[in-house]
Amino acid sequence: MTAEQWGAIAGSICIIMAWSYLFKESDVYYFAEHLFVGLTVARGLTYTFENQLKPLILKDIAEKGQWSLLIPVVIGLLIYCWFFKGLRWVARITMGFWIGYGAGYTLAFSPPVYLKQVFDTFTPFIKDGRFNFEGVLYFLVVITALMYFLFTVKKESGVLKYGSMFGRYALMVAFGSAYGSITMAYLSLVIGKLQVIFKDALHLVK
Amino acid sequence: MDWDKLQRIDVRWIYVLVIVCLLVPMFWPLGLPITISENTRKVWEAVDKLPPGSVILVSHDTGPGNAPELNPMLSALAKQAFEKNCKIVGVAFFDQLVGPPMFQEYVGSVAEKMGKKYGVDWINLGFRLNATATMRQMCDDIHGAMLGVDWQNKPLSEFPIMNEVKSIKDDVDLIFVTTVGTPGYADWMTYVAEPLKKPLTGGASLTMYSGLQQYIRSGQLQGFLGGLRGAAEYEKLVGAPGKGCSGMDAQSLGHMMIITFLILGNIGYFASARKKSRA
Repeated sequence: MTAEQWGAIAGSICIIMAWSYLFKESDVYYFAEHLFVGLTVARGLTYTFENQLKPLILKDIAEKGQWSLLIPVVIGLLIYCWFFKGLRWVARITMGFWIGYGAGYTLAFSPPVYLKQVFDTFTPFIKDGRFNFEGVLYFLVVITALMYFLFTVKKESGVLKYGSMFGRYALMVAFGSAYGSITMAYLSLVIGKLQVIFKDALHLVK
Repeated sequence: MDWDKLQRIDVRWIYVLVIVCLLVPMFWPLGLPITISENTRKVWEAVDKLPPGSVILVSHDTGPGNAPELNPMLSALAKQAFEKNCKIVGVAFFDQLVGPPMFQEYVGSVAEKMGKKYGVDWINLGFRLNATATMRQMCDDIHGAMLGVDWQNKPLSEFPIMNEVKSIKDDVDLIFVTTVGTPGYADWMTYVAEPLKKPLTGGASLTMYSGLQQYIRSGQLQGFLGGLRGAAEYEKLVGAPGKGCSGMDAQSLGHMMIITFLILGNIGYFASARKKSRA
């Protein structure tokens, strides 16, 4: 048997052990859970060291002499000051740097992307000489959903009352659609695992 | 009949019935028809209109849970791309333990069958931390962003394909992203596709379908493969039925079973409510 086949068999056993939870909580399930966590952490650490840290430290810093890379390394290490009560304020410098960098990045690049979607909300109601039902519905749903989230004004009567009610129903339809998609996705995952057991490991299915 | 009982079915029976429903079509396929959606056709067209020799950047951003949904998309893409003599460059930003090995397995197996060579027609650049910063650097310098090595730490200078592909800006013709969340389309769109005016397409877990509508509608995402269903449709379009198509019968039957239980559950709910109001 090849290593791949052994892998499929081991994987199948782990899947069945994990699924045993559906029948009853048991040590078999906990063993599978801890095995998964342990293996993931071990592989993750090894991969990170081999593929991320080692090339950076040995190649870029030691070999190529890019000593300036030590500056972000030091800033990054400061985050561990969080573990020392008197030095927690130092860790905030790293966090602040990180958040500022993220916010700057987002503010610099996001507007053109989102603006295009905002403009697309307002499509003509008459398109190619025909009534654009989809465009009108899209526009109405956006506006009424926004009305639903207006909490600073009273919505006891008039346009705001019925608009926010329509918006609430529209949101519920969207949530229902999302829920249906999620159910469909989870079934796909079960099918994938069944294929591992019956196709890759047991070769019972072509 | 005591409809109340429908509210007290042991959930384990439901699990067993769903599993049986999923298993039966695996052994005895029903051959239910698979219709091609407009979104899948747009993905196919995005690849189809590329001139021969174009470079497709694939970001396989999946974890172990969603891999069964997204992996078949890679096989179908590889088949369509290699038939057009396009080249594939793969990266991963979500899970270093799943993305790169799955990309290698699924694209590799198609490449082997079609006589395409690693390092010449396709390459796996592996996983890198800090997705957005890496994406931005890749726009101008793929070699630098990937630390000059492929997924097994072999120098990129050894591979002929990487002599042609230096940056996304100048050398990549299409970005194909398979994703389960973050990093995902929003990142690729914001930091790469929109600033460089590069076409972006791909597939994602069906859990994300509703949240991606605005990207599809605005045309920022050229088509979309939705989960296993999207993978099956794409496999059918490229004429290579694989794991996606083989799972569709099972999925359809599973849906029927869930809908049946939804109806039964609702009957039970209304029947017991009626009983209470009468009492």
